[in-house]
Amino acid sequence: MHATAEIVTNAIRMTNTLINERDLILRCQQGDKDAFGTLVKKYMQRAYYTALGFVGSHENALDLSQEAFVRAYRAIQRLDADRSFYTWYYTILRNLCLNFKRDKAKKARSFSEIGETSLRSIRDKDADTAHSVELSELQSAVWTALEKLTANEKEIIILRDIQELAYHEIAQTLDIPIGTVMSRLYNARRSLRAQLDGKI
Amino acid sequence: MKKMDEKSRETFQELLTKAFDNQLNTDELAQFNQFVEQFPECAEEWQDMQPLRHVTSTMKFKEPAKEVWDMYWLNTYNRLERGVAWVLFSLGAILIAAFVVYNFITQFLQDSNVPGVLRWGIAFVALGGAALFVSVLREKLFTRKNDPYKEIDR
Repeated sequence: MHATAEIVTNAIRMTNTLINERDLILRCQQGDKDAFGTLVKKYMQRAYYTALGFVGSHENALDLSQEAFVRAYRAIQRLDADRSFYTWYYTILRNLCLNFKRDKAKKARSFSEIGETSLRSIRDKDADTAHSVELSELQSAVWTALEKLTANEKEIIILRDIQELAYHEIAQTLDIPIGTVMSRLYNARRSLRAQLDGKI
Repeated sequence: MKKMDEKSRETFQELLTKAFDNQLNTDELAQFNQFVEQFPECAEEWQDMQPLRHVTSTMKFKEPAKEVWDMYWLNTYNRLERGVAWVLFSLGAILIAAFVVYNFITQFLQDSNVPGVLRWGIAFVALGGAALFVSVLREKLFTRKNDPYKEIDR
């Protein structure tokens, strides 16, 4: 009963979002830059953190997420107004980030270095120093293990565990059913756990 | 020891994912607990995932400075505008260059009032200059694209 109510609530929320977005997309297609600005402001944080998950540095994440918005605006005529803007934008951003990583494969900083630069650790205020050090080491081990996963596995763990998107938001972003989100998450976490065997 | 069938296994995997994310409702929690109590492999798997759950729940991305968000749209807008400006600039430059080359060939090179040595001299200088410009431009672009130290402040 509770689950059904949740599904209905999410469906209503998504429908309202799509109706508002439809109007904004149609205005963008008529050259209204303010409408595009509304879309950018709505999704900029999610876009930035997604790019950060892929490329690992603040400057590159900022640059790539903005570049993806520019490319999205240039191609907005091709977007079906009934589709979710972010799902479509996400494909552009993902491709841009993966191409960037491929081009920079030898020079780019490793994903595990995110731990030093872009990761905020949420720690128990009362935790002692030894516990904090241990936690930092574990976080570092998780980042290193994440780097060894496939792009799809890493992507879904970052979307859920680091960015804390709800299942329905991930489903919408990746354009897959919620059931697939959960099975992908299950498999990705199993792979991550296997990578960490003996370390945690 | 009870064995799980394929259907139960799928149900447990879904419940485990939700449990990992604290997304179980009351009914699902009861069902999940039943799995954990009845099947040792379920209890073991849940136990196995706990340390990972603990660590990932403490890992979040750092928030950038507030100014980053304040300037985000403005910077994106500037890029959009710059893109249009570059297209217009390039189009204009191509048109002007085509006009100059056309007139240089049809008028200057064929002007019998100008001595032949001067005409060909200027033609060679123009061709050499163009070749040098393309060569330097290509080298600069290549260096910009492949310089491993470009992100280091010098």
